[in-house]
Amino acid sequence: MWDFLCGYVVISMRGSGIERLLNAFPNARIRAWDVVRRGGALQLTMRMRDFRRLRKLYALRRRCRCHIHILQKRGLPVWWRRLAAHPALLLGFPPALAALVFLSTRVLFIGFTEPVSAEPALLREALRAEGIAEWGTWVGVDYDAVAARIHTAVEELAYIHIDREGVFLRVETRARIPAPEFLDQSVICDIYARADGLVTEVSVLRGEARVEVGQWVSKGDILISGWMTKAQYNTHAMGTVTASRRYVGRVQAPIAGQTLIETGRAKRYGRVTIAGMKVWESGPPFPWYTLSDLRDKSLTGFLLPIGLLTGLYYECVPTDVPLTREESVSQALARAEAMALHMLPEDAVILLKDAYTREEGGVLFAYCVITTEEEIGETRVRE
Amino acid sequence: MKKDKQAGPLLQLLEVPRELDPYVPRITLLGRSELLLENHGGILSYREDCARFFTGVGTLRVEGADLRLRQMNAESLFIAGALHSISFETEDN
Repeated sequence: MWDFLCGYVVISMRGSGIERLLNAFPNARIRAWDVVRRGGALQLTMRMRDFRRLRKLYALRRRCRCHIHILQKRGLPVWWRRLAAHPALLLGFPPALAALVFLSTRVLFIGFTEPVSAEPALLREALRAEGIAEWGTWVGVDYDAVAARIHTAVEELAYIHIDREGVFLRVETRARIPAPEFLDQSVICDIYARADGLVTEVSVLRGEARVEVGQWVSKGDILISGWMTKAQYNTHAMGTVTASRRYVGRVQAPIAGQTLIETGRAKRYGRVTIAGMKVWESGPPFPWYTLSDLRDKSLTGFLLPIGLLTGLYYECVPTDVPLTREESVSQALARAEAMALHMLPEDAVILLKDAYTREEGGVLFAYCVITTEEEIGETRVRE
Repeated sequence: MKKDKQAGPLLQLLEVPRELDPYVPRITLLGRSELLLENHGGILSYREDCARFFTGVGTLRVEGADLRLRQMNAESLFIAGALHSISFETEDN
């Protein structure tokens, strides 16, 4: 750092008595570093002040038969001299510095870290109400207090944390999970089957079981009754009834499939990121497209790393193409499985999955049968 | 081999540690890439693959590849590069 401020030179020494000249450096109070042999010459670095001293060692240089050349001049004095030769740069420096200082006190980017649970627009509005927006100052803002106020104001939020890194503001949120409905336990209730299934487990906490393991139940059947037969009184039935259920996905095997074929038209794609945050991205100009020829032209060496990604959008049209039997079966099985999975409730546990094809009236169908185990009880208030 | 003449009877008499003798070189090796030589007497020759230094106990020969004098002053030399061997030259050399 100090060498940079004072300025230094990289010189090349050539001659027969280079080592002798090097040995004379300490006595002449010359400090040299990064001494390296480059072919027949010796390349070394020294401060500009020391180089002036070296020039004065006239007699010694002649005795050592050394020739000295300056290869590079570096440091603040050199930089300043070059800058002084360009007044526009010199004049532009103070406003640029002022702009830098001004901008560094502002929040330039607001990002919502994944997973974004709440609506970003809602959060932006809440932040704006607190006086936080792009180009707003961050000086004197207590982000923990702001986060606490937004947490109180926005009911959908279960958690919010605001973190500032330089000019970037990152908002992390989690959505509130709604509390389960409160059911008055003094109300007389029964538990009914909300779907067909083969009972695999019955667990009664209150009331009387009306079904047993291995019994087939239909939708609407009473599973646990609130009527206690022996005690002759009604209660709020509580418990769980688990049943095994089957979900069948059935899809006709397609004869033709769709593929995207390029038309030959292309438009440029571009994306600009600053410090990893997306600033701009060109939208797709075609309804169907492929994105290729991606090239990373990131710029480094700036205050913030700037990422430039370029490429080409190629326009495509969906076109029907005939499928082979294997392709047709493969696609049909995948769709049947997707259909069956789509029917599953969230709490279902998959026990078995079977997929096969069958011809029906000369048409090929794909089946996917998923056997699950799930809770089928549904509490209803007795009227 | 050159005889160590600097540890004279006066120093022994005064019970001065040998580390304080300015004519006795001190060599510190950091891994295989850096070497600090203190109390040297000057550079005899310097090439990318071999450097020779005068010391109070003889000529020190440092062999390696891409040798570079990172720092140098009257008392010490800091050498960087891929070091292969460090030896004192004998009369035969």
